Amino acid sequence: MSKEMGVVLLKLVVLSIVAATVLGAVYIPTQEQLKIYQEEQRELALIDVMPLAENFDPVKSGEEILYYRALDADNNLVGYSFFRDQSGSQSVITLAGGIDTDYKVTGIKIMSHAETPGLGAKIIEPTFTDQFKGVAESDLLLSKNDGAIDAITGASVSSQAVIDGIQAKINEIKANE
Amino acid sequence: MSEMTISGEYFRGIIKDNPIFALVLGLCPTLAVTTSVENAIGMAGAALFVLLGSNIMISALRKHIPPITRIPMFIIIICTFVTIIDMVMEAYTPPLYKALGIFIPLIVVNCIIIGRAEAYAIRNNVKYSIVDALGIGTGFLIVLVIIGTIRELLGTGAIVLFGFKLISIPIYSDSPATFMILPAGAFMTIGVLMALVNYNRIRKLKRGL
Repeated sequence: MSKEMGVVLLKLVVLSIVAATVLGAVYIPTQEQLKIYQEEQRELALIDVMPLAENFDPVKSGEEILYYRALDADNNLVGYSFFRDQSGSQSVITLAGGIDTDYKVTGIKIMSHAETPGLGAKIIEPTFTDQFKGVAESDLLLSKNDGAIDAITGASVSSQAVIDGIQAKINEIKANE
Repeated sequence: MSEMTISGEYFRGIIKDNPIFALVLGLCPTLAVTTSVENAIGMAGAALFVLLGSNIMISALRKHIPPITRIPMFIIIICTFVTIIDMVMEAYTPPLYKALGIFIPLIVVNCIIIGRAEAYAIRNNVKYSIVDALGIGTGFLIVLVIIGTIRELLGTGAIVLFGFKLISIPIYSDSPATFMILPAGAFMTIGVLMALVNYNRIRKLKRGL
């Protein structure tokens, strides 16, 4: 390797290191701000999926919040709401859901996902999520399994994952209550 | 360009070397994000930041950038600034970040930025590179805002800027021409504007200006 070549390489390496350092320095404060924003979004989502509730009382196991007991203005229990990370077909789907005391779904909202654009990504659309409103636990299946939820064409894995996530949480809440 | 003046270089970026109408660079983001004035300002602001950063760094390092690896080094510098603005916008202006979407990371390959690096910053000092970035950035901003204004006004019947309704056309806004905020509207707007600009340019040429 000639000396010139070495200098060129060195310059590239130094530039990359400087770039990486700068990015690291920006990453830390922006991630903190992002967390604050996501926290706000989560609070809004809780109200979205459980419109009847006024207060949310977290049920914890250790430090981790399992789900929230949704309370109305008079502190009566009207249902439960929760967040769930469920692995979909391409990515982890984070969803918020609410159920009433009869374990009927009051609403769901997809917080984040990276499913296939054009197919699985349609799980965020109201035509899909609105189907869940008022569905009883026994009907929480895809329509091909005689359930109440129509899967997105070409994305039954993503659709099933959303159902599985809600079902898993319902089981967890049942076990705790 | 025998004699360079700061104001001359600045206005060259807005008029003679306007990125959209004269250089015809960066059309893809121009067409895609000008659905509203707010998006237009956000996009132009992000591009201006990256352009300014990359022009400063590249002109400052121009004696140390070996010709054979100049493109990779440009890309590293541009990528760094794009990632910074990407992270900052995601954290501090989430709705705008969502609206602009993939077009923020794509500033990396925006030909305006790399075009200015290659055509200007690598050959000129830091002072003039800053002026060039500001001029080109302002030119980009003005065009985006003009297109955004036309499309938002005709497509939705009103202009809403950062939550404030600036203008609203009373009867029209009940049934606006929605296609203006769709891609077809972008092509039509930019086509008509480009025709007007060129018409003016040819007329000036004929008068020997």
